[in-house]
Amino acid sequence: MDLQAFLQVIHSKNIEVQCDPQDTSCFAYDAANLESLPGAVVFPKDTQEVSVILEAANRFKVPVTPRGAGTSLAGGTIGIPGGVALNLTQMNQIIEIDEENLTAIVQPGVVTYELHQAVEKLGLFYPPDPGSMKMSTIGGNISVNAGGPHCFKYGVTKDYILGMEIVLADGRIIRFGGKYIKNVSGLDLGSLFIGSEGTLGVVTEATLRLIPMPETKRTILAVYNDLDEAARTVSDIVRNKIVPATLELMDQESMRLIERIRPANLPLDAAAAILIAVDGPASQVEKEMKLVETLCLKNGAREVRVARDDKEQEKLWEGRRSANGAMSQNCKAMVVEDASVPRSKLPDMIRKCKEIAERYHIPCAILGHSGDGNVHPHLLLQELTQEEWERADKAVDEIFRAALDLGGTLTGEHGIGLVKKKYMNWQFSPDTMDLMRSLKNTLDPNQILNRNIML
Amino acid sequence: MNYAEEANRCRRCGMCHAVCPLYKAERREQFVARGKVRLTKISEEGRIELEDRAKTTLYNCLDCRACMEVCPAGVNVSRLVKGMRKKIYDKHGDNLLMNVALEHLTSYPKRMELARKFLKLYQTTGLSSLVQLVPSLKEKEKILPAIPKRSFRNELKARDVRPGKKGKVAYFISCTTDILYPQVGEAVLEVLEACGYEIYPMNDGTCCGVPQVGYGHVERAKEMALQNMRSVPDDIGYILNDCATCGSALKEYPELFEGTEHEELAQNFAKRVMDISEFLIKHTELPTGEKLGIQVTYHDPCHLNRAQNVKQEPRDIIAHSGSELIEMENSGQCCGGAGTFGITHFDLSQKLLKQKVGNIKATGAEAVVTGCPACRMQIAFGLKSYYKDIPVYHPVELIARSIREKGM
Ligand SMILES: Cc1cc2nc3c(=O)[nH]c(=O)nc-3n(C[C@H](O)[C@H](O)[C@H](O)COP(=O)(O)OP(=O)(O)OC[C@H]3O[C@@H](n4cnc5c(N)ncnc54)[C@H](O)[C@@H]3O)c2cc1C
Ligand code: SF4
Ligand code: SF4
Repeated sequence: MDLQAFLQVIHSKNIEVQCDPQDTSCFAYDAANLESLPGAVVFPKDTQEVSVILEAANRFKVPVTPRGAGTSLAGGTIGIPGGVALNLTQMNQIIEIDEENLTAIVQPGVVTYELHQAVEKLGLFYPPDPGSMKMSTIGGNISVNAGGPHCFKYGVTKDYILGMEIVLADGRIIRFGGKYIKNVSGLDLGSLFIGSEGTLGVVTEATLRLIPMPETKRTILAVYNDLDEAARTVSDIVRNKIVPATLELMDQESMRLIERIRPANLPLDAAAAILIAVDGPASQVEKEMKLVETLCLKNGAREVRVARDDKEQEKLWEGRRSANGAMSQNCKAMVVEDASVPRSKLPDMIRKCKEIAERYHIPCAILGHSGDGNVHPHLLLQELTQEEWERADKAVDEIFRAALDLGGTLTGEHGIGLVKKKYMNWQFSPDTMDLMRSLKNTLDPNQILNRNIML
Repeated sequence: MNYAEEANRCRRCGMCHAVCPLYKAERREQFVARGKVRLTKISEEGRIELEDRAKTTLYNCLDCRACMEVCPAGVNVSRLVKGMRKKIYDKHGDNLLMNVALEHLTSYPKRMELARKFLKLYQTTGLSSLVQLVPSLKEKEKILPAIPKRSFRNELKARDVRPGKKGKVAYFISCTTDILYPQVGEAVLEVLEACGYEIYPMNDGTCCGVPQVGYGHVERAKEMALQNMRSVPDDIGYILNDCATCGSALKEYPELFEGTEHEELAQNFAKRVMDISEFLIKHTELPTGEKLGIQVTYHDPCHLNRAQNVKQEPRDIIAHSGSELIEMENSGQCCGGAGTFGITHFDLSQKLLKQKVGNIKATGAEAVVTGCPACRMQIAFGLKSYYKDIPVYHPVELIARSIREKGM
């Protein structure tokens, strides 16, 4: 790695760069419990600059780590020490919102929520809503194929990407896709790059699909004494051909913690509760709400609370969104996992997580996107001793083993990053791993981009 | 405070990104709490020296505390930033200008009075046109409003204290009220007297010490705090003030004296401090004057809204004066004034100010109300520069005026 030669190019092209450790140390972390100090941070303002940066990095074999808002929970922005952090937050323009074609063209540094606000003003809807949407960037979302509560009905980030501009590891700029919904021309490169966690190329522009804003949305909170009843309700709702906008499950511990910081009248003695939102045309929503309510009760809900107005509805969601914070306040460090299992296995997975955490004496609160089988066990570390970290590591190992045994996957939305890399071999056969690596080698033979991440 | 421990509570979740006005304007990690907390952590762990670059980062902060409102881990960003600024000052000192200003000028009311006279002279004579030759100063010096003829401290001397049936309350005289807006002090006295209180002006007090704390001159700030604390007799139950920033600073005196012999004194002082709007609403029966019937919008000062959790009371006062409140969007976003930030970071500050003025303009209100004279100065400047010269008031001025108009 010849960082000095690289920097010479950067300086000669007047690209904004910071090298002082007093600056670069502000880019040494993300939301995972890891760190690595970059040797330089670059702040390109357009695609051309990204291309110059990668061309030079490739020439001088300098490892590069793309970075959006740095909210990765998987250590996806933790680069090779002394390498380059490629900060994309300066490229934050919404280039266009096309109301006729229902598309938006954005730069990678646009914050997800800012896009939401911009399209909602026009009565349009961009559904992907990761819990971090108020800070995460579209580039980061694309790179981990982020999801959120809306995913069950509306799909994940991938379902809203129509086209992209990518700068490859050697600086070449490629573009594919565009403002069309139907497209079977050539290989589906989108699928290759979406979710590739910055290992194959840098997203410098994206064309996104928008949909009209649903007319109304209503929320129900259903409370259960038994986890299985909650799970049965979810299956029953789906069997009845209702597709709620969201189906969020909170376990007893989560509710207890949420209630402490943002009281929303959550039942503290119940085993679990699901937060169900139904959206669509008003008349249909009314009908579906009634049916959902009946199904909840039929499957053993001890209480069904229908939010009477927007305010009550907002309060419930506010509570759910504050979950992460509530948990932060009850630990010294938090390990958030993200395994995803077939929907029918969700209660098994939750029970398994609880059992494992208990065995390793680590408090654990569980949230789940019960519609899509994605579970987030939050391990709440209290001491931060070496011994406790080791216990946590072992617990995480077992959680992943359990997820895979149940026919699931390591990560539903947060990505593999650095923290889950070692489990890749558990999930994939050597041949599959080889294929992934050979794709990586074809696109990035010098291992410039996110060399230490995922593969 | 154990800074390392406090900094280690940060989960690096990035929630502060969503609310930090500086981050939104700059989108570089150094501008947001998470970056500053990181510097604190590694500095306290002895992994880095805080030199120029770190200093720049630590001074890129409005102390608006929007981050603290959303931080799930409850990190006290304000204290960490101030703590690190002190660390830098203790090691490197300050330049001559700042030393003169902080150690020898702003902390002495008499010298400030001289400075005020000089400023007045400067504004009324041709002297100001000289400065206008320097373009960078030209814009900045317009932030200062016209200096009034007499300071509030001087007006107080010419005024007798009226005894009140309800007892005595202390009144802390903020520098901005004293020098720039004596009419606010006047209004406070009028209203408190109308409510039946006898005012004990803290004539022997000095500046609250915020500029000193903000620049790391903590030892000087402590001397000033002691002077202020000793200027109020123990038997006075409330120490009132009309400046959001001063109020929060006075309430935070215990932090300055943490673990020292004066800690108890500071606590005993701090718990009696209260913002004038909060006091009027919670502890008095406000006389009802003439309905003013004007349409106003309210700007929430950071140091009132978040630092002191006073949000509703100023609004209640507006309502009580018979004025109509039209809420602006983002009323709690910092106006960019933030003490000297508006001067040291002029361009960035103006970005925030333009947003604020845009939100004010959208309400169509005929006046702006805010509970902090420092915000008032900034907003008045913004209105003149980017909209039109509509008046800015302190809530208490509305009440005073409605009482006056009724001839009570
Ligand atoms: C409180 C909290 C809640 C969260 N909730 C969710 C949730 O509900 N759903 C969910 O999916 N995630 C969630 N996350 C995880 C995280 O926010 C997401 O992974 C998000 O998509 C990351 O976006 P970012 O801009 O912060 O990217 P970063 O963290 O900066 O980067 C993420 C990865 O993408 C790469 N990358 C970033 N930008 C680019 C680019 N332009 N081109 C190529 N590669 C790039 C980086 O190298 C890294 O590997 C949460 C995180 C937190 C802290
Ligand atoms: S919100 Fe608080 S915990 Fe989260 S990154 Fe900011 S300072 Fe750290
Ligand atoms: S106090 Fe205000 S300016 Fe400073 S980091 Fe927090 S939100 Fe940003």
